[in-house]
Amino acid sequence: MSNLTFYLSQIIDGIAYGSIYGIFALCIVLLYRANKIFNFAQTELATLCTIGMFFLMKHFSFGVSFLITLVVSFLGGVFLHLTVMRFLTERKETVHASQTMITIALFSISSSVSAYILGDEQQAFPSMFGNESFNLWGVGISHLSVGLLCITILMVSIVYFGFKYTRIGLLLEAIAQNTAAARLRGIHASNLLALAWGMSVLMSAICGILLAPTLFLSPSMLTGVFVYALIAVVIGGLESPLGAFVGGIIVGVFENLVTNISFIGSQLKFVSIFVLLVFVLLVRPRGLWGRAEGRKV
Amino acid sequence: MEQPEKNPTISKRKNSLYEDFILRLDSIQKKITVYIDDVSTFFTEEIGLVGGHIAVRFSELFAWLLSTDRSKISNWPLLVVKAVIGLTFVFLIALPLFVCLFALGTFATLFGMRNIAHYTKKEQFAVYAILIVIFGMAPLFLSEYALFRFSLVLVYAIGVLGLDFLIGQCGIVSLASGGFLLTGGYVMTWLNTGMLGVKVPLYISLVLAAVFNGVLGALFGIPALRIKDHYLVIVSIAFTLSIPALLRSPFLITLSGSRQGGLFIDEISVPEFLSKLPPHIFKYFVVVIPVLFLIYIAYNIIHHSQIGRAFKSIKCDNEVTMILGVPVVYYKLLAFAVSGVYAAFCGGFLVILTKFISPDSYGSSTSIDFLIANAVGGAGGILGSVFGGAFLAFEPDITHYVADLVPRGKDLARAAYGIILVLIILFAPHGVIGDFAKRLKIKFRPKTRRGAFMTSPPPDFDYLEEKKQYFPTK
Repeated sequence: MSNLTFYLSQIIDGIAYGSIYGIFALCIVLLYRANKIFNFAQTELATLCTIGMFFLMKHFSFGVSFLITLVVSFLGGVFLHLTVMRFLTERKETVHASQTMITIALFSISSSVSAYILGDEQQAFPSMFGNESFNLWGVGISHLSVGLLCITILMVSIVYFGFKYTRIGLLLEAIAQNTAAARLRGIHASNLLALAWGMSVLMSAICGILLAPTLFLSPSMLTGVFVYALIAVVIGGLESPLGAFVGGIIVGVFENLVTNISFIGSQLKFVSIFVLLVFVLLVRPRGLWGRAEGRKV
Repeated sequence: MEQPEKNPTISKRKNSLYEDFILRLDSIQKKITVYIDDVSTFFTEEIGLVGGHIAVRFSELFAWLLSTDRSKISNWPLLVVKAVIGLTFVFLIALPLFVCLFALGTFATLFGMRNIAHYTKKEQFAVYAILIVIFGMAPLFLSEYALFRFSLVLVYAIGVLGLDFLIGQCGIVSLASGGFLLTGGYVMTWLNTGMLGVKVPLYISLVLAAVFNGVLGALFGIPALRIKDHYLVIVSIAFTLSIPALLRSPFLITLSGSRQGGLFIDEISVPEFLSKLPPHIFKYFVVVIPVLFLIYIAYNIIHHSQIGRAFKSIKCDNEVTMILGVPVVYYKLLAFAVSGVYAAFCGGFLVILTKFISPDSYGSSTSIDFLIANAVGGAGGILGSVFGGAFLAFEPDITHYVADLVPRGKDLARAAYGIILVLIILFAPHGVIGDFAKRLKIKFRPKTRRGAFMTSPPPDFDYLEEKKQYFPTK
């Protein structure tokens, strides 16, 4: 294998991993745009939904259980908002009494519940795209990673154009900027936020189902992805869907390329990503695609 | 006829006054332990009978519902029912704990909500005397394990206090405390065991670790001046995760001992002139005295200094503080450095207590635990941090004890933790300590020291009434 092909395959691998990070980063961006919530529990909720689908598949076909999972996860997100988050949307925020802290709690709840339901062992999970791969310029590419990339791009465009051109996106933006004023204009903030939560959990359920075949279903399936997704979303900028996607790809490719440097290897991979993160944020404190906020007194 | 000696202690008594004193203390301790045993048996046998009966019935019910037979689990409606019941059970675990926390909070509120800064000099002296007596007498009444727990509470308390310098005082949310704990603990261990070539006494190694961590904290603070809010949270969690990765890397793998699982340090040796003292009591004093001193320093920084006022001003409004001419950059870096120093002491004392450190000892989960403890105790005060430390030290025990009632309930213990946090955020957003003054409408008026009250007014302070007191109008 020539040197060029090797690096090409590394980059393509990196893009495949990067789209995984990007897709979770996108879910985080969706909620952040809607109500300035940074959702730490995104990956764990995805694992929980995937485990639910795993048990549904013992009784139904793949398609039916997939649909049921989507509906249930959407309703779960709505339920989450209506039971807990609703009470915090308009409270004057102290440091701790924020929705972000609740998502940290949600992280531990959902991870322990999924560990309780599934147990420790890994389970095989069927793939939506089959297990074949094809050859491109001497590099093997699996159907799964292509499908993942396509779905990520689809979701990015849905969120991007949804926020830019649809009425619901505009209303969510209004709520994010000033909830009380939005209410005075007759926007039903609670319903819309419930919708945003539902969409966010639904999207993360799709991600979990897409990733389960490669990562193997287990309660700690996505813990490795979690931190990289957080770093991706911060590099891209918390407010931009495109930034989340590109940030994910940057992190994935950087991670894969850096591992080949003998000085760094797989041990110091994470440290180098940390250095990249600090460097990017020092140059642009609100991420690559973030808008600088004016200071006000 | 020569009389046989009735009591061997009588002859010993003649030997030395010192041994006599020790023996008397022994007998007092025995009496008190017997008394505590009586009380606890009363509670377990009389009151616990009914509760225990109910608990056993419940656990049988749940054991039946949550059967561990994995092969029959494919029945999905049953699985859903089980999940719902499991969650309800976790809720049942969390709810009484929450009630207990609130009861404890009330207790602490009644005795401590009136900030010590508002006390007169005489009252302050009394408070310190009481504290010294309590901490000095504790080894007489507590067993070895309880003593360990007692010191663990205080050590966790200074860790949470270090985080509170950032969150409660400056309003900067950071999840870096796990990483700082690890660096502090490792530097202290390396210096103390002589792995770097020089063997340094215990306290000096602790201080050197604190200096190292202070510098590291200030260095971490430099990017944090530019990076804000959620971005900083992610940077700090990435910092925490990169420290164990660094320790496991080829450069540090021999030093960190991650090949053989971790580093052990020797038990502290009791010096000659105190050889009568049991080692665990000596260890307790070795840990607790500097920790109390650190808490005293933190209290002075927060309530009685320029630094504390600057921190609070930064928390209120960064820009206004800057306009008023306060060097914000300097104070922010100072906050990070102080936070790092406290984390170093926390890590070092934890190593002394557990005699072990490895790259997995502390990490991102420690950071999150500290954040949760800070939320539970209440940000912005010493008492809240101590309460948070107690929460950290005892919460795992309680949840695991209750979760043991369910088969495989160990996984659910963490969920109870999360549910407590949700309840605290919903119903006590200022922490258990902070909210009770408001709920019970307790008002404490500062007595004399106006300067002291300016630094930290009590939660429900009525400024108009205070004005009337100083400028009476007829």
